[in-house]
Amino acid sequence: MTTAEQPRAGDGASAPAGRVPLSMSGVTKSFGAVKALVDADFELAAGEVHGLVGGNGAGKTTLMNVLYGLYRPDAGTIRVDGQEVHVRSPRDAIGLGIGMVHQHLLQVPAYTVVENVVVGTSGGSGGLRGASRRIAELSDRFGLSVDPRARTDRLSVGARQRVEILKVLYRGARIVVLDEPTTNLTPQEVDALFASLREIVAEGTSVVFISHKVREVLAICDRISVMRDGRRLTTVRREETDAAGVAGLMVGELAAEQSTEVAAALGLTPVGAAASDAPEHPVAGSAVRLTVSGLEVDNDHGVPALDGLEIAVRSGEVLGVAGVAGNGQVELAEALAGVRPVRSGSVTVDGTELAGRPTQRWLSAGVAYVPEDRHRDGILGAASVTDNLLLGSQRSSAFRRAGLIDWRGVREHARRTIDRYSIRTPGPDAPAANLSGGNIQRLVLARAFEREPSVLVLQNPTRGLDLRSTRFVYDRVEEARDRGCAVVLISEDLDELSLLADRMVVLYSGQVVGERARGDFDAYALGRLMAGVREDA
Amino acid sequence: MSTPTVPVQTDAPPVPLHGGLRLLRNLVPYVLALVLAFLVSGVVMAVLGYDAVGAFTTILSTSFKTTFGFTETLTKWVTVVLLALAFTIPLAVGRFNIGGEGQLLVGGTAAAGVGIVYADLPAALLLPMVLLAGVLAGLVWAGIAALLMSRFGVNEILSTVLLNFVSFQVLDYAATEVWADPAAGVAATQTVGESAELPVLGGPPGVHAGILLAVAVSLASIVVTRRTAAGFELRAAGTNPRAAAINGIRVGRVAVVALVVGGALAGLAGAIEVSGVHGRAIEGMQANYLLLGIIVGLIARGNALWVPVVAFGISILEVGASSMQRTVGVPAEMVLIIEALILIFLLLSDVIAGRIARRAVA
Amino acid sequence: MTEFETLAQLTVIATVPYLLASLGTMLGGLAGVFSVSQEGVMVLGASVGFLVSYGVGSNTVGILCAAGVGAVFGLVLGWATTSLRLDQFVIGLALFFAATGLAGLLFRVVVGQSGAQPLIETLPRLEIPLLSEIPVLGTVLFSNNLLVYFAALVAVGLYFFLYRTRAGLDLRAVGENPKAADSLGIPVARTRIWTATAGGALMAVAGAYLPMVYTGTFTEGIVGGRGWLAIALTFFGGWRPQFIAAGALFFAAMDVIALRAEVGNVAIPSQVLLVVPYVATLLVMIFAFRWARVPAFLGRNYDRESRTA
Repeated sequence: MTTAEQPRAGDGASAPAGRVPLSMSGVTKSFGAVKALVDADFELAAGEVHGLVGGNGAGKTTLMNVLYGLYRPDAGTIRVDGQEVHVRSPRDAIGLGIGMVHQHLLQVPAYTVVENVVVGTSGGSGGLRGASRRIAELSDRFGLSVDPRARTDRLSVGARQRVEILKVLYRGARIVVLDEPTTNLTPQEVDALFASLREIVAEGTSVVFISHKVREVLAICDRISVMRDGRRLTTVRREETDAAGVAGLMVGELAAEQSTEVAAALGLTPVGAAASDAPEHPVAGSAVRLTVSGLEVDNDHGVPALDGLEIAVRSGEVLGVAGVAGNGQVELAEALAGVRPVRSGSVTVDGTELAGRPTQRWLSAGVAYVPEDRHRDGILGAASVTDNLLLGSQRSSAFRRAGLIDWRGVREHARRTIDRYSIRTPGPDAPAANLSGGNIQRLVLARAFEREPSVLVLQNPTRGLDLRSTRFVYDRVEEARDRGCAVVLISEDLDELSLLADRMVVLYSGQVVGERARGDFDAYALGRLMAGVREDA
Repeated sequence: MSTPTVPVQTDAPPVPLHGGLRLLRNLVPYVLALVLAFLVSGVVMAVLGYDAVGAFTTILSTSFKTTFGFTETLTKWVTVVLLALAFTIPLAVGRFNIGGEGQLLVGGTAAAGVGIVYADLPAALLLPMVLLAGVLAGLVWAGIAALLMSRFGVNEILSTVLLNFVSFQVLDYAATEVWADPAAGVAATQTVGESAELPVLGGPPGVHAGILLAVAVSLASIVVTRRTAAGFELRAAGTNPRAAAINGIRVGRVAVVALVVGGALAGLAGAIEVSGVHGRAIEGMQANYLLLGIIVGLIARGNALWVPVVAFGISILEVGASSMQRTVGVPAEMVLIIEALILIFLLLSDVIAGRIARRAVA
Repeated sequence: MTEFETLAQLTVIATVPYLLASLGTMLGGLAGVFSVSQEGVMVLGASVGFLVSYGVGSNTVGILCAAGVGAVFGLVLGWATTSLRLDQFVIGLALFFAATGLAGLLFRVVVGQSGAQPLIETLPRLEIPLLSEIPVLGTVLFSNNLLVYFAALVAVGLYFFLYRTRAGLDLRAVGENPKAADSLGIPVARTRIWTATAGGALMAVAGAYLPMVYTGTFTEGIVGGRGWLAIALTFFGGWRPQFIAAGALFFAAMDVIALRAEVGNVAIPSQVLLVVPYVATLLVMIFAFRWARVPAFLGRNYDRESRTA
């Protein structure tokens, strides 16, 4: 398991001999300046459940969207049953026997189950009674237990998930792609789903199971492919690995080995070795600045995402929040930034209760937030760099003269900030959207740090950044810490957490399942926690 | 994650212009759109057998040849610019106020009511009251739509349009039941007291003093949108509501305030029409101002600096239209087509610019 | 004819433009294209319908030409919001201006600037054999002009097409969740373009109805806000043909009754009666929003490769 293959070198597990229902090779896809897939490949065997794992932005979903004709690749070939095919639209994919269950439920809530299943299957005017019978049959055969006549929006999320699978089966798919199908399911629903998947592959259909959740991947998959940075790193057989192994492949170990030269280039010490022996940062005695207790927050679908979370961060301390994506990280970050409503519980900053207060109040209490999706949440894309640097401080007395915004002062400040944070831009008036990802992140950081925050919340702050920008982010975080800021660093990158955190908690299913102090960051132990294996269990 | 740039940013006012280069780059699509619109409509006129050159000359020169033409243009500009701002300010946060004419009419009705009931008060007291009545009525009228939007999620296009129709009846009721003037020949209220009328500047013919108010409002809206925190928040909320909210801006409240302020300006326009132009509230006095306000707002792309300029251009076209019909024989409707073409070509130039930008990135 | 029969028949006649324009709005809207150019397209339909009837001497040809011009405007709306991804409201308003201008221009060019208003024959009454002889109902429903029957047929036809066929199911899915529709192989752009086109044609016919039934000639104010009201009515009817038809009758009845109130001596001021439909629509939007739900993606463009949902 420690064999760190070069990308696409030998496969730890080649497909069983015989028919190869699907193979993809050399798939490349860019979105503007962002390379989502770089020469990615993938092979699927008949009758297997094939796990496709990796962090956010690793390219799993993008690769499958290419297969399903939703994205048009810049390069690459797809073979179905050995035949090269061109998938220009989902219609083509369906015709080739490919079905996809998307991460978000793609349903019409106001339709009944039958309507949602048959929609798009024919232009004809046939009644729905026959279809209804067929759906009931499929539902029985694969243990999906869905009432075809029910209105979809009255069903539980689990049942709606099963409707999505019925949609695919109804179209006679032989290759079924499931993108994070368990996100909103209860453990019981997950078990039932897995039983159904077993029934489905028993009939010769192949399943691609995209997931972040190590334990589930191990529970259902025959083989597991790991993706990172837009390519497939390796494929392993289920019986050759375990929870810690997969978690390591996804976020830590393999990355750590690969990134030795990265670390060297950055002048960082590699994880596990020297990092743990680094002199401990003296935080024990300092005051607690951020206290979170009993925090309950819902996700966008109204499903509880954080369940009684408790954390406390001291001045000058970096608290790392580890975990595989989808365990409540987004909700935690947004709740701590005062953006997402808190259902119950308390969040205090320097003794001031902030839960339920407007976002502006959080900002003035000294909370700064560096969001994960910097394009969507971080910047005013069409507005200038100057405007973006002002955003949030527009009412600050520093930029006011005679009741008006002192643009001369703001521009002066912008120029200095651009300089100090080395934001590469054609000028202070250039639209922020024209900047590269790294420079947008510098802009977001600059805005956050110029407020001299007392609490800093960052989520995956170096995702998609080059080495220089990554280094820059790390330096700024350390600077904030040294200034006495309480830092919450939410990240899926164990290397990053090991490097920066004074203390690490592991988030699983919306709860803290374990805590480690600096010097005790063992990748395997953390991997087990991240996979949901409790300490006390 | 990357968000592919959206080619059209109609709801996103451009950032303050600094430097001539930026100004030049922003001007290019305008010039192109203008040239193309005149070219296409010129060809249309020529095909229809009209004298296109003569038509354009008349359209563009009428406002400047006679004092009467110029004062008419200025008078028109006052209402057009106010209605354009009533549309533009909510547009900056992505809200469409199609209720400008309703807000104008209730504003005018309220102004006329005050001007009739308190006709005996001195001008120093009555005139501000009349104008304030218009502002308040417009504010309340838009406030209804804003309340329905924020409290019940009712689409503001729908509610503002419906309130236009309600306002017709409000004015009709006032003009036929409350302060009816049977001698007027048209459905209209009685005339307001003399001290409720705006003084006339210069002339004859002269321009009513409402122009000072319109200039003040235009300047204020430029200052507010570019120089104040509230204006900055307006633009931020329109550009990216998510990022704005994360940075402490209450996006929902900003939208409500924008809609209400827009209504107040349209109400002011109504009061000015009453106390500066007609001396009473007349049915149909909304003319096509709603439409012109929208055209100006869209052509100016919601930019407060451009609104008065574009409004002036559109006023020239509108005043020129009737004399073009008189002298060259080209129907006045041609002007509306020219205006629509300017807007459409401007939109297309956005698409093309977006495609070029995307190609440059890829 | 009794007073009631007269009023009822006037109501049926007044229903048609509301109904056709709203059905056109609904059709595009169910696929996600929210037109705001009704008022302009209706004026253009009135102008073209009138002019062609006047020139050719056939109302049928006039109606068909109006429909054709309306379809072109719908097509442009559909194309600009799918292929070019222009903001639906902005391009809709631009088309409203263009159509309004074109309507007036065509009329002036053909008829000239002054002189006597030309007139066309209004649509004749077609009495449906047997049915028209039913007392009361026969006069009210079955002895009307052709477009009354046409509008009723369109309403019934659209109801069956949209709610009783697979193709209708597919079409509505495009407006409810274009991503889901796309992922199931339903051609989103094509659906949006054809529905917007057909919707434009219906709006133009609604406009052409006015000179052919009411005035016999074209005037600039002929549509009188019915286009904007068609939007309101579509919301009022919850984007479903059967309720839109009921709403159109209600809007029309209020028009007719208010007109009576103005001439006759009814206790309620006509203004109050005329305001009823608008206030009712707002009340429906406030209190029956669940019932009056709009297509979830109404007015929103769809980009398959956009990564922000």
